[in-house]
Amino acid sequence: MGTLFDKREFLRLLGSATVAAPTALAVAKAEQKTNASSPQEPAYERVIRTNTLRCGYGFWEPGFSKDLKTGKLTGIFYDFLIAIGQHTGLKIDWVEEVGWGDYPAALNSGRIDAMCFGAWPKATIAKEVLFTEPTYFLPINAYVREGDTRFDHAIDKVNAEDITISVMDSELSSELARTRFLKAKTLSVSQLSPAGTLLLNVSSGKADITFTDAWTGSAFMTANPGQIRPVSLDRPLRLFGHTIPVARGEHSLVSLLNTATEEIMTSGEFETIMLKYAKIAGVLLMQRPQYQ
Amino acid sequence: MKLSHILLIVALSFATAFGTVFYFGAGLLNSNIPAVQETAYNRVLRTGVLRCGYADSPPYALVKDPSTGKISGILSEVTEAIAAKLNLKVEWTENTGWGTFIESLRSHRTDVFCAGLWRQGERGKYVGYGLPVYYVANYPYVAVDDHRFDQSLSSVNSPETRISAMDGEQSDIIAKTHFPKAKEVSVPQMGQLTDILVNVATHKADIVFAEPSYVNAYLQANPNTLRFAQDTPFQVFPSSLGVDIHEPELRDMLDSALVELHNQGVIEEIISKYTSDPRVFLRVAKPYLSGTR
Repeated sequence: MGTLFDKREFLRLLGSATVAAPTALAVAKAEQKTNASSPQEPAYERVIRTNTLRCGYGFWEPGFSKDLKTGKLTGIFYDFLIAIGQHTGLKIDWVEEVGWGDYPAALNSGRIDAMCFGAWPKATIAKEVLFTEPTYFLPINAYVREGDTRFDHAIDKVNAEDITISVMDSELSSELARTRFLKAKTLSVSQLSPAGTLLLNVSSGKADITFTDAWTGSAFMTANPGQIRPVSLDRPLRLFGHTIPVARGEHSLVSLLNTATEEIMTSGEFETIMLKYAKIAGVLLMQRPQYQ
Repeated sequence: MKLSHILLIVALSFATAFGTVFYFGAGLLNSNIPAVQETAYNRVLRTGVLRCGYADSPPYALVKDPSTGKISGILSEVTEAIAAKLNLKVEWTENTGWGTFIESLRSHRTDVFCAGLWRQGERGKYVGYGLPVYYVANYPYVAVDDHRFDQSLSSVNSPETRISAMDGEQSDIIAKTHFPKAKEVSVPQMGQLTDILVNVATHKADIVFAEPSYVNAYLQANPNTLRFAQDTPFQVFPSSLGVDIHEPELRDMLDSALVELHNQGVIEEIISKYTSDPRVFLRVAKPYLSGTR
């Protein structure tokens, strides 16, 4: 040590280092905290810790609605989630109304744990969320004016230049027109239009055909008898199960919700809920038993 | 202070800091993060051993011979068949019973619960259920001379009807959930399950919801005492293996082997060895439609 420091100076330097070292350690720790990947608690862990499932919701008949007089929530998925709460012992917290297009962000940011209104598992959204097993199925049908039988068991005839399809922007009807009936013309309405607008365009003769779900079609036909009819098809154009989406990576939460769902399905409780809301036969399709 | 001294202080500080971290480990910086534990899936693949928790579930599902210690039953054979498909060895590690199997899975004492679990929402908070091996059904039984409920069970939900049930058992849950207005004739949990059948056979109660597995045994000893009120299942319960809920890879691996066994008819062969009554264990539906469209 003799050439660089004397003994007193070395001790002074060592003392300085002793003070500086914890400082460096603290800096290192702070730095690591800053760089750490998101420390967000997984939704499953939060649900178990708080014993509460924080639900997002959106309104659509007959899945989820609000009584305008009383403000009371109701619908198939409302009752279904209440049953999930009873079977799991979890408290169901209806946190916020979330738009159809916004729920993946609401889930992945942790604002809600589950989207509890019965979403269709679509491949485009599956990149962002996980879906539970389906509860019931809703067919997508084609509707034409009353008396029009051109497309019965011949839906491919829609793919012709002299056919006009009534579609809604960025919705399933426009997706079907774009992917399956490329040659046909489209008559477009905005996403803000009421669901019945698609069918109104057909009944009024502005379009030849449209595609919408069986519930909306049945409701329109009940309110406007003799104006439109469903095209006879060998199978629905599409069939969507109604599920509960959760954030991506939340496999444990999916498992928990699937277990409760199966219990509610096999006990017959879900059928009771369906009978309460689905008054028209053949519109909402129950899952077939998984046993024989 | 010379520049070389300042540089030395900085160098010493960093050497001390990083040396401390190196010596004491990342835990010093990450005191809130628990040490990473090997997953059950990785452990099973590394050791080639599937460590089973189990519980006695007579007469068919799983039985341990008290003198030889040999384990037999449908679910023991199914577990062995799954393991054979995966080139794993089964170790019957712990008789957890039904009360502590979740803790055994969570603490990694066992990898799988192999005695068959009915899916249940409350347990579903902690258990990842596999695909069903079979379904167990509950049927309504009445005294052999009672025909009041042959057409419909709707009149069961009335204060005049007495339902026989064991406290906390499925018969009790069905009574409370589906027929809240009916009166329950209860058998305590410490009693014999067959007592709920005796109550109906002796007209102390009107109806009981029970599994054919033990009703058949009762009827063999006491013929012409009970009959089905209706010959269709009142409620079914999927029976499956279970893993800790954080083990989706392990569950998926076991499910892959199980599906193969279902599709090859092996599960059917195993179940048929134990009972010829198709109502005791309902089979998993085939995932395809037979015939042509």
